[in-house]
Amino acid sequence: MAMSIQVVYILFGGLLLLLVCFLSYLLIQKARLNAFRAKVESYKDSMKESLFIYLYRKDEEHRVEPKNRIELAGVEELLSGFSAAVQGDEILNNITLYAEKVFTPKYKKELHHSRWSVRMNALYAIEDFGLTTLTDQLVQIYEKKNSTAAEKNQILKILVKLNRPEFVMYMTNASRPLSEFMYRSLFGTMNSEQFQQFINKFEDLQEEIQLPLIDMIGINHKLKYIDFLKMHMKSSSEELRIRSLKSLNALSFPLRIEELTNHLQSGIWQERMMATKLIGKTRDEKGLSLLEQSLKDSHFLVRSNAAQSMMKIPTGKEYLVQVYKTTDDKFSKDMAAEWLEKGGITVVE
Amino acid sequence: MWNSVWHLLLSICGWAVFAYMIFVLCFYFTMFIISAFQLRKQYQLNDEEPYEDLLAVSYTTPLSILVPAYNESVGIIGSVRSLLGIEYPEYEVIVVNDGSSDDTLEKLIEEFSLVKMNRVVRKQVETKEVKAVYRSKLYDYLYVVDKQNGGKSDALNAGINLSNYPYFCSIDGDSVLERDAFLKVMKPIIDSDGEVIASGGSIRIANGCKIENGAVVSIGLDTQPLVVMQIIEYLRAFLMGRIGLSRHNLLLIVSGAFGVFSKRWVIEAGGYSHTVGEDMELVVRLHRLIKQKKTSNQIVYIPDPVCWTEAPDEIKYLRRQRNRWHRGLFDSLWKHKEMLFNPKYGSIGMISMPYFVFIELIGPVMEMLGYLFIVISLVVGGIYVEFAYLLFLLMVVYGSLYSMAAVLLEEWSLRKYPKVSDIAKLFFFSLTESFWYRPLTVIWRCHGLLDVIRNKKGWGDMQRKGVSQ
Repeated sequence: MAMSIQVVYILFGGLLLLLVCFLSYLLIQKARLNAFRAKVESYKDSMKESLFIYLYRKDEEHRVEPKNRIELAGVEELLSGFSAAVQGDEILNNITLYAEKVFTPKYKKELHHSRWSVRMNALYAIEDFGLTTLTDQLVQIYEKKNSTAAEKNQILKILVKLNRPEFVMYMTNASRPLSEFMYRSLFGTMNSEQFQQFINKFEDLQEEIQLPLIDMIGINHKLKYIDFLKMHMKSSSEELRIRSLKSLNALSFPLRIEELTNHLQSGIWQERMMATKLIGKTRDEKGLSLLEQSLKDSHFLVRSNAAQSMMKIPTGKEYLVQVYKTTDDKFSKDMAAEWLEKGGITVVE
Repeated sequence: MWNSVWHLLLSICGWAVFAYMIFVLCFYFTMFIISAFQLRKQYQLNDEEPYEDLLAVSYTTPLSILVPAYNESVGIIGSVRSLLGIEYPEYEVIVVNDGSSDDTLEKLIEEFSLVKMNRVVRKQVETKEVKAVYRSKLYDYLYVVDKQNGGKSDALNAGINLSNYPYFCSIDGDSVLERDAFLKVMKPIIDSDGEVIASGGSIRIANGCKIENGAVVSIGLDTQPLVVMQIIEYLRAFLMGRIGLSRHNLLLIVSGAFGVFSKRWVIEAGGYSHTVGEDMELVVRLHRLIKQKKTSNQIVYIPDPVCWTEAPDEIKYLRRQRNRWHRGLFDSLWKHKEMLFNPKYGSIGMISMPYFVFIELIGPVMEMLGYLFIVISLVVGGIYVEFAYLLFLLMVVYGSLYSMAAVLLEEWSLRKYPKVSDIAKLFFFSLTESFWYRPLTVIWRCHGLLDVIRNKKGWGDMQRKGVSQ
């Protein structure tokens, strides 16, 4: 027992010593890092103006040549700040040319770093600065089996921005589907030719790609695709119908009442809700009686949107006041009162 | 004869505590290793880039922020202000005044120019009567619900009924959030296309930090040992415990002070229920629902987004808080006791529930037995003394060394505290934990269990000084 207890004491002491050593190491690291940061900040202050003048005017006299780690970190941070803040193709192009020259070797190395966060930071910087020098390497990393999903997504974004042809295949034949947000994000950054490529092959795409593609038409106000949306309003897929209506609503496109009546009878509440929204956009008084029916819908959000849509139609407020006064449906009454109040009309019985 | 029975009992007790401590130490060590790898992987990851897309586009999932407030007059304005300035594309803030007896509502009305509005409330979960709904004239996304007192869970349910968006976040009225906290906590939900149905962020202690107008200006340490020890305790709980559990979808707690939930799932699970630990109880029910529906939905924890909350700085209030937490833990586990070792609930039944029962709930009792054994052995003397030393060392490893390791893990991976002296201070305070703080919390938690047996209910008042200047 005494022997084993001694072993435990030694183990305990060892563990304590290990922690204290690790603490000392971390404290020294922290002090060094704090000092490093202070130097970087001071270097940034001293070089900010010069670098900006160089990037703005291409004035070689002001060219900044970072020589060590501190200066490299300082320039990288300044450049990152500029690239996010400035506008104009010329200065952004200057940033890219400068970054390609100064940072290509650094990022090339970091793309293969063992720590995931270092690799990701390099990818973010490549995207921010629009570096074109490492695209072949990015394609290789994308095709590597052990690249993480986050790395692949980030590479895809860069390939779309740089218009490398591989992105179409990577998006349509992804080993596992991307998230809807990611598809939207990619479609959102595409130029009109890239976007059109996907519209052209719409029928061949899987629904999880079709849906965000339709969403982005509305979100990015791509008015030239209105007929395309109207065609998909009649799709046999419920979700495609709902998304098409949603996009048309986002485009504020006034459809005819007759085009919407079927959707008002849909068994899916989301479709009925989108149809009530669109009826408001028609501003057609014929829609008021249809909306009155929707005010009694079984789903709360359909009722709420029906009242809201009524307010958008000329004479809709007066119509809603009448509904409020005459209806014996409690839900319709409450909803009418709420939206009339939002429209500045207080109803008192 | 009595003498030998007594010695036999003492030995059994000693060995039982010893075996328990070894098991728990091994369990925590495994969690520590998992956390260390996970945290280090993200060390120095760019703080803004991963979230830029979420912030830049209009189609980021909107969010309702629910703030239940009961007598939060001191901190509520700072807390709401911190929410009005957060970085997130689309959100609404719903403060639920849960029948406060102080001037919480009046303060809100005055500060944010609230006006009464006629609002049809979609009753998806039952709540006490809503007296009025207000909307701010200054911020059109700020609502205040005034309702009859029904407790925190009832207030949250009222907020759910009023909310417009598909995800909601519950936040304590005395908390302050970092500006990008929502971007970070929503990212796993958005990236997973809703596969993640709840996500919780890290909670840190605000005492000692400089907070102005609801925003953390600089991070620092409080001077009071009682608060410093709580800071360490939170680091340990969040960085060592939750990361490990979250990685394998075993998380049974998403802190009530800062967590995002899918509204659809919460309503389907029946909303918050009226218990002391309503946050944990809801998460357990969500896990049950996932298993019942045989889906692969997840509940995750994100170590980075930080919600700063006020810690009690007086023993009296800390004791009440710990007692309440332990009763809450018991309540949640007792309500779902059939899940324990039930293979029908998969890893939740076979790992999470046993972990929470045998380590979190029973832990203080075993530690208390350990302390008693040490004291008795020193009195009895003989062969027990060395064994008592051994047990004491184990308890120091469990109480102090693991906390020291958690502090180092924070510095190695997240580096939230800017000063070298802060880390040194936290480390040496951790060393003292086993000698005063740990025994105190053990006593309070055991007392909580006794109160469960005595069927004592209620929250016990907490004192709020407010964290924002």
